[in-house]
Amino acid sequence: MKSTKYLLILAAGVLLFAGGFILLRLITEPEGMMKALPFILIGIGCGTFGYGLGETVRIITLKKRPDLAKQLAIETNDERNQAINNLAKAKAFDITIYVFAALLLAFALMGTEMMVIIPLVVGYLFIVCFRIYYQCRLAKKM
Amino acid sequence: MKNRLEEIRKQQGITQEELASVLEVSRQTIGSLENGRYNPSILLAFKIARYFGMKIEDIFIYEEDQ
Repeated sequence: MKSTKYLLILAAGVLLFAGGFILLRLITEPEGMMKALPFILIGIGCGTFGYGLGETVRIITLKKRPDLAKQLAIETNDERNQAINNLAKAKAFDITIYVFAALLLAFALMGTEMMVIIPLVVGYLFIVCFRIYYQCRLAKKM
Repeated sequence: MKNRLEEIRKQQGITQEELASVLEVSRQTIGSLENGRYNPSILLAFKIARYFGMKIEDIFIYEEDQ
């Protein structure tokens, strides 16, 4: 595993954070999108930085400890762990369908703007269609 | 599905950790297999059988009513 990729991600995180911070300082009276953009950049920057730093530290540590790297590879590729992971993801997906539907219903009953509801409905339908598509694709493949 | 994995492993004097290391699975997987909580894939079943020099059906017992 190369740490260069994660160092670049780390650097991108710093740049995004710095960009957001500079925008926040430079624009004294923000309008429209600029009201939220600096904070979004800072948020994404922090997340990216954290991810990059975590992965870099992990790679450096595993290079020094090959025994730990082997154990980690076994744990990751272990078929029972993979089965558990897949089952947990499937359960989470099932719950998502109901939670998302309840949220849509709640938004509709609250009289939320169509600008909000329509993208949510499209997203919901996309997820359902994506599941059906993959089911058909995997049925042909397996 | 029942199995004789624990019995065979103990007969051969191998620890769960050693078996897990040879089969490249986690120790928890060996524990779950022995307790009958987890049924292995056909690949892992073959690996186990081959390691002990036995047939799959000598280790894993298929039961009709499940």
